[in-house]
Amino acid sequence: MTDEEILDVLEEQNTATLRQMIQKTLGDEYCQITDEQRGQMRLHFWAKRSILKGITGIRVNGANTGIGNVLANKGGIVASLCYKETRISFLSAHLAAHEGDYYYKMRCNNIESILRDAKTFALTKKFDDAVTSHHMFVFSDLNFRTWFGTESKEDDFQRVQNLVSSADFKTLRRYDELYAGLSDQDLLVGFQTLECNFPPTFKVARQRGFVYKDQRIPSYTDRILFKSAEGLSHNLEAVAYEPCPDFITSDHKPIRGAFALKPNCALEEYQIDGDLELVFRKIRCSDLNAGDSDGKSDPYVMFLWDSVDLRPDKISFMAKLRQLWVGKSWPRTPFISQTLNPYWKGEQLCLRASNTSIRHGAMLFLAVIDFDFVGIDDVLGGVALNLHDIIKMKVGETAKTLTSDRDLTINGRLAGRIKFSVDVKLTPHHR
Amino acid sequence: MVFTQPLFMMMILFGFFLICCGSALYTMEPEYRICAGSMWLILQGFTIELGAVLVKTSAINQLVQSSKKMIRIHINRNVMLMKVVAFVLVVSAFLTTWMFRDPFTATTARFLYTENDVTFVEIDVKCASESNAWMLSVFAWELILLLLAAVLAYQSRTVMKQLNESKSLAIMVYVHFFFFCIRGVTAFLYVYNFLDGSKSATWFSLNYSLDSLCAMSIYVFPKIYQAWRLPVEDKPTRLLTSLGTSTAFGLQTISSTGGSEFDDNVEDLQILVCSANIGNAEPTMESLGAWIPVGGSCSEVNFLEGAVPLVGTFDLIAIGMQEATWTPSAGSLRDIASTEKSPRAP
Repeated sequence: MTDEEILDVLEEQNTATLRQMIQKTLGDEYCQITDEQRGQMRLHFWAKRSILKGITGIRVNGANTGIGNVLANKGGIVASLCYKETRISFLSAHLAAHEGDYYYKMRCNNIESILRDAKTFALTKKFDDAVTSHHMFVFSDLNFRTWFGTESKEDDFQRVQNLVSSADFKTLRRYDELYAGLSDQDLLVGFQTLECNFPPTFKVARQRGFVYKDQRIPSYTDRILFKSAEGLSHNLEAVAYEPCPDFITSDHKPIRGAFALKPNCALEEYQIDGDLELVFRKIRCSDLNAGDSDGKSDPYVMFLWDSVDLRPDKISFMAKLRQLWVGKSWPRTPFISQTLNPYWKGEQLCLRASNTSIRHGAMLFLAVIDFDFVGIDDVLGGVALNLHDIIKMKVGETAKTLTSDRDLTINGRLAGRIKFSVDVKLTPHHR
Repeated sequence: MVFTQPLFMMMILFGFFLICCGSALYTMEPEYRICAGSMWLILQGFTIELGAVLVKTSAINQLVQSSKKMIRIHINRNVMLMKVVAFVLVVSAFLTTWMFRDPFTATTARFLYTENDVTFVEIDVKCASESNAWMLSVFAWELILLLLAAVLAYQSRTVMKQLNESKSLAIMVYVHFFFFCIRGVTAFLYVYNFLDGSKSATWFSLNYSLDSLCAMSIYVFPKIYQAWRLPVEDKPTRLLTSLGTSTAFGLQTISSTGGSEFDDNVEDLQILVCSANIGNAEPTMESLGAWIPVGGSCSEVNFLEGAVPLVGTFDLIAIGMQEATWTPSAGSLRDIASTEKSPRAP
């Protein structure tokens, strides 16, 4: 056998061993629904057999961020599934290691690359899973460190030891790179992590409890973050977050988090008995990223929707041609040349729906895209709006105007802002 | 296995049957009933066959597009049937108008020619109308149906394999188009008297027969063969795909995301997210049990202060692992090197 074949067999043996061990631990009530390996990274889903019929549309993708973005020792695996009209994504990532500002930035870039390259949304590849998912979890060895900003590793190690001994985790959290990064919106904008009220999980001796090795400053490298789409955050509740100190075969202590999630189909839907009209106007963007080499962009806004049956008010001839060829053409504004702060003055875009129900999972996506005469247009940023919240009206109300000012994001990073007004009008059908 | 819908398959077969009957009539001695009957059978056969294919394929495309957007749609089989009936009614109206205004009937043409100083009268009897516009309309209608089928075949190229008929549909359209072109040439020769009536009738009859046979070989027979070969226990009673779970593909009420069967008594999903850097070492069962709750039990987890504890077992467990490969001992490596590749675990 060649070395490559031996490695294949080893890989299969490792996979089979892990699967058997997990099956033995969980019991026959569970079965594995996906098992993805990418180099040294793995992402497994196990589900109770009783909920299998509710799970659909499992999609898996991944991206490497090891050396040259080729090696799979670092990177991430994204898996998403639908459970009772709820799109849930899981990103297990292993980011760049080591301490210091340079490596911190590399980790932020890593997570951006993974979100950019590992998309699982079936409808369009214009958005990353952080935008398209109803709920998303990002977890695993993210490698963010405790960083005091000093060069004395011995002193820093001792400082962490003292804080851990006195169980002063609140102070320790102040020096955690990930807390700072989320607060500064350097990465994973909109995500949150629970408070680590436990000792750091790295780098520990391979024995019970938390005995730290002085090669590294003890850090919360193993993390769980989560984010819900607009209007759905109250349906996801974190109920547990803890390390597992009795895991003794690694220099990391594993972590686990428990969540209770209310599926979208259990939520009240909004029934439209008549015609619904949404008119978007006064659309303006600011601080967009440059899409062209001259530092400018030629932006336009595209409207896409999901889990709802909307239709544009008018379809241009070009859109009809596109529709004939690709099956679907999303409505869009005209593009404005050479600007990072476009304003579609006088332009309005109308979407309609008739006799339909708007469920909680119905999302309206706005993508700001740089128009290119040659090649494929580049997405500059996007935002997901909860349609249920937009159209919900008080009893007796048939029209309202909302003004919205939202962050645009792309791959977990800020990408400018978008403002618009939307006139919502409901014309009931008289029986 | 490509799923099929028996009623629509029956309609497609019925369409082919009508075409075959019409082509058989074509070879008989022309008279009004024969000419009109063959035209009715052939044109209605084409309409029913391609109409059923178009309606069914467009419904599948609509379903798949909606499922991508997670839109719940209801496809009513009766509405689909009505669309096919509407096609048939339109064609019936056309044929009725044709047969009344300018009957497609036996016409006799006499030609004189002299051979060895003897003058012969050649009588050519053929089915024809006074205006060629009627025949041109028939060709135009067939062409429209074929073009629509070609567009749908292209659009359905990304449909999941169980419902994907784009390949067979496309080949069937190409075959129909090939025979359509031959018919066009035959009609041209016939109209401009390069072919006499009996020869052109033979060519038309042969053309329609071969066309139907080839189309059935491409589109119908493989499905019947697959259905025959598939063991009873594997026959699709449930379709579990990205469309969600729906009962046998009846196209009556299809939910894109799971169906209303889930709307009642929906409980919270209890999710456990686990992460471990395995450290490139094989974990022991004891270590694994300290991380992944034994039996998936919620009670093994310490809940946050103020949180409502979960009860029972977790529904969904996501397990992320890093540095999750390891090399067995040297002895094991030698064993691996000396053995053939082991089969993948089920």
